[in-house]
Amino acid sequence: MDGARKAFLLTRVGDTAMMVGFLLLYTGLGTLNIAGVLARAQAQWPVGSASAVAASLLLLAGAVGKSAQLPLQTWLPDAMAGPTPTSALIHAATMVTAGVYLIARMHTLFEWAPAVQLLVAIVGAATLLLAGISALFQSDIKRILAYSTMSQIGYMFLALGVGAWSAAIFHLVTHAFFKALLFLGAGVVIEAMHDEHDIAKMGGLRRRVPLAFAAFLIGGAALAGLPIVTSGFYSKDLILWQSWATGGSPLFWVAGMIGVLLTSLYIMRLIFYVFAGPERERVEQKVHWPMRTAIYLLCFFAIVGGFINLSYRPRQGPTFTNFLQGVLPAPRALREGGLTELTSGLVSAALLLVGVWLAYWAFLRKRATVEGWAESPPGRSLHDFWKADWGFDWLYERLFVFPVLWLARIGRADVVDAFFAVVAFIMRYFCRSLSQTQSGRLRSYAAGVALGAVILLTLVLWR
Amino acid sequence: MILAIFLLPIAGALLAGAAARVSAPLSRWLSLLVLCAGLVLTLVVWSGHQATLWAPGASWMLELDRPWLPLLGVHFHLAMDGLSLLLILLTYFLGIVSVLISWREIRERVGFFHLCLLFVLAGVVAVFLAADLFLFYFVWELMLVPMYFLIAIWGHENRRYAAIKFFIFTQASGLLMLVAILALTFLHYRLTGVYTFQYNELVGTRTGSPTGSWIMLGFLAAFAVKLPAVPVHTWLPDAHTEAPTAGSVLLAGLLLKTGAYGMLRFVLPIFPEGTAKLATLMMVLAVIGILYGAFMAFAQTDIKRLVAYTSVSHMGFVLLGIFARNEFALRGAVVQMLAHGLSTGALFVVAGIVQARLHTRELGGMGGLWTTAPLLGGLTLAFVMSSVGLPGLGDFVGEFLILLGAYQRSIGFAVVATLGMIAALVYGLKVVQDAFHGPNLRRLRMRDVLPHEGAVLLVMLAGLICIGLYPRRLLHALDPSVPSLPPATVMSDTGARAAR
Amino acid sequence: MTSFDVAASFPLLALTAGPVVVMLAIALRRSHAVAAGLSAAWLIVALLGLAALGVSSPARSVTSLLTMDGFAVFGMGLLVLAALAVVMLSYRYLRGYTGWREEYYVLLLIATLGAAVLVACDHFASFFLGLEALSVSLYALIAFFPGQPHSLEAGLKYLVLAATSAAFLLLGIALIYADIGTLQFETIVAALANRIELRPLLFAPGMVLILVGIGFKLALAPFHMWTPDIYQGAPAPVAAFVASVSKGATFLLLLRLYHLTAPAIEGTMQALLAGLAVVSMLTGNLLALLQQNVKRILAYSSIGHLGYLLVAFQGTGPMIANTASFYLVAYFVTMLGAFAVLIILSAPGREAERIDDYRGLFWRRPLLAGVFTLMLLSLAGIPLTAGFMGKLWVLAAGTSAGAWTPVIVLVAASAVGLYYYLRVVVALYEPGRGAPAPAMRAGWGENLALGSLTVLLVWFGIYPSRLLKVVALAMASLWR
Repeated sequence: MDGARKAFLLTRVGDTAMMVGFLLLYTGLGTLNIAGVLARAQAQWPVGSASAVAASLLLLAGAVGKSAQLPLQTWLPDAMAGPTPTSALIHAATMVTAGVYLIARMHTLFEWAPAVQLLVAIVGAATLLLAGISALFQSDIKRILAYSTMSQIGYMFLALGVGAWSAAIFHLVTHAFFKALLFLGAGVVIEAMHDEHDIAKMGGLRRRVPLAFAAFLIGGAALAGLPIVTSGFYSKDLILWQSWATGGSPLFWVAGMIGVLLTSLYIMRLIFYVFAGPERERVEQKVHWPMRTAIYLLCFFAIVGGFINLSYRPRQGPTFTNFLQGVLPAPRALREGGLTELTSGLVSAALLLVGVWLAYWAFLRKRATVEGWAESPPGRSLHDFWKADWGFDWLYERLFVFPVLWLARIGRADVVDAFFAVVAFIMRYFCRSLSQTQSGRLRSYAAGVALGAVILLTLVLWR
Repeated sequence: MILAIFLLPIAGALLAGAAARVSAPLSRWLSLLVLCAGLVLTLVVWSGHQATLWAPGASWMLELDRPWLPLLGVHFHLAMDGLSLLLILLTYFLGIVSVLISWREIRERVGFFHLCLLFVLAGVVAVFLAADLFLFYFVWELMLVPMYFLIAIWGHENRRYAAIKFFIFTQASGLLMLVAILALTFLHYRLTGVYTFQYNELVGTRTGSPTGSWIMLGFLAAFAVKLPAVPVHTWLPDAHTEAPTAGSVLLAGLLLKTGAYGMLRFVLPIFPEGTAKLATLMMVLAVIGILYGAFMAFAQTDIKRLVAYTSVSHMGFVLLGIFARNEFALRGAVVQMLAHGLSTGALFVVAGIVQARLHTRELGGMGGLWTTAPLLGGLTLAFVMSSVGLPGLGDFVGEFLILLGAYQRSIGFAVVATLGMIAALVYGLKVVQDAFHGPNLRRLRMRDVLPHEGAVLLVMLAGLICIGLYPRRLLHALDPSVPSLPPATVMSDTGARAAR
Repeated sequence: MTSFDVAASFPLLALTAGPVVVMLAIALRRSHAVAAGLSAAWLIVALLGLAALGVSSPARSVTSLLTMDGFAVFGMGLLVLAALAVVMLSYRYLRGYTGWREEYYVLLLIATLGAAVLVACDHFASFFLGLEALSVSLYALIAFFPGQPHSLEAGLKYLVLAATSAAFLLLGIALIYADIGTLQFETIVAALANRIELRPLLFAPGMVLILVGIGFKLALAPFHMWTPDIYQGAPAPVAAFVASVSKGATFLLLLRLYHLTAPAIEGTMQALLAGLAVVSMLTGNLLALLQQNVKRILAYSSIGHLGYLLVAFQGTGPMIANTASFYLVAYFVTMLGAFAVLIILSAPGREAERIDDYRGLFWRRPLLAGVFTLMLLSLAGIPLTAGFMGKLWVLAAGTSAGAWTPVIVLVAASAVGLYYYLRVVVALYEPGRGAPAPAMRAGWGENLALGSLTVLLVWFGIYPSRLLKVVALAMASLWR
């Protein structure tokens, strides 16, 4: 329930900013028709003008809120950890990608405000790293997937930020496939474990729940970007390559690469904890045929989904990118030298394998040792810090929630009413004082008459 | 025709009051019948006439003019244009709502209750139709007395305090308005040598002088208290909370709108220079109202008081729209008035239902009601969403237009006001979550909505969806009747133009 | 010897003959019904005589002491009607009383005569005669039922204080005589017109002292302190009489005096009256705020209303007299109506004084409570009632002249006043409570009185044109 509130509020914060952006757009350009906006913005606003920057910044805020990127990302893990896997899936594949869509759709506007576009990339890069690290320390199976989503969307934002519009959409599509697959698999696992979410309590399920094992293997491979046979490879590597090729800061490429390592680390951790190792409890797989069909379908697409961007005729170029060319132009390759697409792909593949091996060593072979590190004092605080998503929740609570609640408690009775209460008090006071003059004694009454006469006479004679 | 619209509630009131001698249900059915007739009549008028906004030189949709006090130039002058039409529709509709939801709630002195109810409606309808300032003041005050009785007799624990507070606030500010009306008449007399209370003629008075500004303040006092604008809003929470459900619906849905209507109809056209000078201050008050109202709403533990404060917040939007004085903002203000009447009225109905079943208004005493009353929970969620400004429902259209207009006038105000939408969400979620969601720890059992309650709520929701998705018909009713004038200038420059 | 103008003097003669006839009737045979009936009859006769004279007829002197102009006819008509209402209400009020009660009507008639003389006076001598006739009758009337709580005390207080204020009055008259040399109003007016400058120590203080005397009778602050005690101690019909006839006559006299001497001291007078108005409005309404006794509430209310009434003097030209007289009529109707309800629920020694006596009245006697509500709302100045119309007119007078302080104070005082009026109204509608109400049903007399008052209240509240025309005609004679 608290998750629902958080989700609504944080997205609303983003949406409100976006709405101010709409107001700005309408006031500046006279229309809210998307095509119209883009056309008029290009015509009327100089590149880098304050209006363009403000508008795109506000739209970015909306996208950030909806897509759970920094700094409005804290709602996603809570929202996804709660409901059933299927609704979490909706969160993963559809709702949160709305922000990506927004930026892609309004890309011309962002191009007109290069500073903001850079910010998009920064946000994406930062989120993919932060979320990746946080995913590594989670114990709830769905929370891991939640942070993973956050991280992958960070990739999409990164792509948008460097101008690789169609790459972002491509990754959006493939991510939908393998993330959905992973969530359904998680659902099967949780069902089989009698509603248990904690991966520390799981183990050895590969024999017991083979369907889920297959799902996680394929999905996880796609997520990590296993070369050639997974869709994730094509989309993620396209992004990584573009982040280098478009000529921005090379740090983006580096961040993306680190992300690859992190991704493979956390997903393998999950797989090793859940499916490898000794069996813990009685489990039974109960999967109905609709679920089975869905998982098979998704496995298929998670593998072949990437093929849509290969070129099928000589010199045609990537199919999917060309398909979107009309709306989302492909970025120009600006940077010469350094890397080639192939090299970049090789680096990412290497990092992936390194991640797998590290995960094998840390979470299977030497699990006890690694868990021992996590228990030690410095390890513990780091562990908790990263598990709590870098303390954002804690920060927001102290910054916003506590003050508001405190103010609400003390301000419950309207302070403004105090003014009127004072007025009423004064009236009653005067009433009581005047009532003293009604003493009932004849003398005072007569004195009143005399006093009145004296005052009036004085006033008149004064003039 | 217009006389019929004016007289129906009065006739209904007397009939219903008398009918109670025979049987209480008869009284209820009569009231319902009369109000339905009024609604139908108004709809007939709308379909038969071109609904437009009045401006000097144009003609009204419907009009009735009879001399009343020739010595002072007072006429019994009723007139309807697009704005009054929309508000009268709302009036009859909410009237029907309040009769329906009082069907089982009010058991004592049913005849007198309906008499008071219908008289309140009569007063409100008359306020929207009055085209003579004397008549306007007359019916403005007349709305008060039956409303006072409604609160004081059928209200809740603290009703006497609330009723007197309501009365004194409104009456005191109303008297200031009376002085202002008189002063305006005399000002007009001094400038033209004619004694008149007619709206058409007084609109053109040159009011740019300091005297004019003081007169404007007199009018503004009465409307600001009614709206209500912070800081003269403190009568509202008490009145709304202690009133019976029908009373709260009428208060929130209609009486508050009369304040906004007064500003739109009188203050803006008659005092164009004055409003321009005062605009910044009023917009500041509006924005404070939006945020303070939302904050106070969140702070409450009594569900009715919470909804009452949301009215302060929403009417803050309306005030912002009015004083931004451009086409978008003004239309947004009217749409917001209508939508707020429906959404907040519905929320009061819900609060009334809950109170009648659980005998408590404290949110702390509720929780998990969805399990026992899912229909009610769903409907409440829908209305809260509208109240909070979810696109697709009426309030959003109003708020968006207002913000757009305000943005064009001043970016800062619009941005701060937009924060109100976040604040609104906070209190909205509080209502839904504290009352309906969560575990039903106290094992509360509650009957779900009864047919008549459900019907009422559904129709209100339908109305909100209509406004939210297809406001065009509504907005067209607000088109100026003189097409040559650019729409944005109609309300603000009307007076100035006529004065020249 | 000038020819005796019978037609002009007929009303006054009738009013004089009335008490004599009733006294004789009592001597012949003591009967309450006869006494009351005769009184009512004579009042009606006087009324007919006034109607015959009409409001727009030219002024006709009746001896050099009195003048029957339109203003006087109007004023006398108002007073006689009020007295008639009081008689009708007194009849039932006194029905259960076993002591001697017929003399009550004699005194009432004499008081009415005194009041009538006040309105028609053209000479300071007749002024004082009328005033004394009114006052002395009231001394006895107020203390008429010595067994009733506070009755003697009230009567005595009124005696002493009235005499005191009369003393101030006489000194004032003397000062004016010293300055101008005549007591005749006409001559005074002429003298003032010819004067270039007045002797500062004589005329103005004289007027002020007269104002003190008048102020006492009108219960203006700071001369108001007697009012609540007298209203509480006197029998209800007498209190009604004091509230209406006594005040009304004095006020009409003030109106006449003001217009007579206006050229000389207008500015000062207006300022003084503004000051008195402000103080009275505030005092009256503030004092009533926490009051639980209905009679005292009405007393304080009357103080406040006189304050409102005085704001009319801030106007200009004919507005003053027209608005003030209209308000006066509205005030009469409202006050008499409110007292009528009170009287219907009372009997000597057992009056419906406390608010508790009215709790839940609506559920027992809805019509009566409804009327009482109307009267209270009229006192508060809510539209649909004559009280509102009156207040509107007075506000118009003040606003047109730009007298902002009195106008704002009027608004504020009215707002304050709402509080205690509403408190009584709320009590009427409280459900369930059943205070032991007098089981006596109202007879036709008081029903007629109350009914007509209610009708007038609403009539004047919605369609005052007729009354306004009459008032305007009557006031025209003030501007000779």
